[in-house]
Amino acid sequence: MDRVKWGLRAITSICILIPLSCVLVPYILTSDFLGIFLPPQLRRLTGSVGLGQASDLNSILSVLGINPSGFKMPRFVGLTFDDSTGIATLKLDITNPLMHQRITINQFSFTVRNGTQLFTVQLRERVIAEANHTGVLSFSFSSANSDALRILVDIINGVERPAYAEDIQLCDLYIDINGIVVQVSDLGKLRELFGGSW
Amino acid sequence: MGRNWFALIASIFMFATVVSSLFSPWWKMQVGSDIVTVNADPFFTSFNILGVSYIVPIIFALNVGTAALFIASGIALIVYTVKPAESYSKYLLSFGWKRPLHVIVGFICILVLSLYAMSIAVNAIAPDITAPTPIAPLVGSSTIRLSSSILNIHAEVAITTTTTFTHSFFLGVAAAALSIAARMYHHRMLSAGNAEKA
Repeated sequence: MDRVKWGLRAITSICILIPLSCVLVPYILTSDFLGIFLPPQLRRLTGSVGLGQASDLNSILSVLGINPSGFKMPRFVGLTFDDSTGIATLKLDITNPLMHQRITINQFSFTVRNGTQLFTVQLRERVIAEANHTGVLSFSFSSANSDALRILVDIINGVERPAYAEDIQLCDLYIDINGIVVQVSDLGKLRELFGGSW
Repeated sequence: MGRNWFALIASIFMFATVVSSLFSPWWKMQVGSDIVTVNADPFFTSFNILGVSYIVPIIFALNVGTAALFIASGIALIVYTVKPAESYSKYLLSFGWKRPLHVIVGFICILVLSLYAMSIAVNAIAPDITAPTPIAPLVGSSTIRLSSSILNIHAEVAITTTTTFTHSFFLGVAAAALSIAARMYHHRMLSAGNAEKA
């Protein structure tokens, strides 16, 4: 009976010790104790000696799944308004710097205040920039007040500039990107956002 | 002496639990929409940040050890079922039936401690981030908030954390319940056997 008991105890020890020693011994032999607790990708970043070894930013970003050359601000391509549907379409040239992760804009809305009118503009459908995507993406916006939206598009495009255009304010911004929700209560005046191009 | 079918079914559930864990972790935490995913499992734990998967060597070794022990316990229960009358069978049952219970209790304890530790770590490392304590419930969702001082504009940033147990966990719970049933049935068989002898 003792043999069975000892055999089972030996199995328990073997099951625990063999995997532990297979993984830990190489790190212990090279005195790389930090490597036991860090994923290999992150350990490589810290260099062979230990934390504090400077690795260049590009390789750090690559290991983290970020394309170092992918950091580009979205570039404005065009903004149009379709009178028949009442939908404004904003086209942006976007680069997704994430190599393995898509960027999804689930919600995007803001309120426009021009002194006399208050209307909310919201994204009609989610926009997806696939991993490593570079190219033009269309954002379709609609509003309950489609006429006000048309005028806003005309103002931004410089087609018309009514006197109140100077005082148009944007507020209550709500953006949901990959589940990260950003809310800004006051974005300031529209002309301030556009700066020199206004 | 009859056969203890509870032990056989428990061992089948134990093998199924290990196989299921390879495809679906016991517990999953998602930060945002797959920005960060924690796949917690006694047999295969991994982290996924921005689409890149990370495995910690020490956790991997412990996972492999636990899986090997779990399978060995399942085999012990099968041998016990086939040869219930052998004098060594009670040792096999004793070796096998406790394992699922130990793994489940250990897993829950480590998970709860980790959730509290994560919250303490996040609040200590980044004071601008307000993480709830624990950082997420065992099942459900919570919100991590970034104070507006992190950005130049007055903005509120919120990230939702969602946690859930998967079917693999419930397979493990079923295996534990059947193991306990096997242990109780073994007692009943012994009592019945003693009564017959008397």
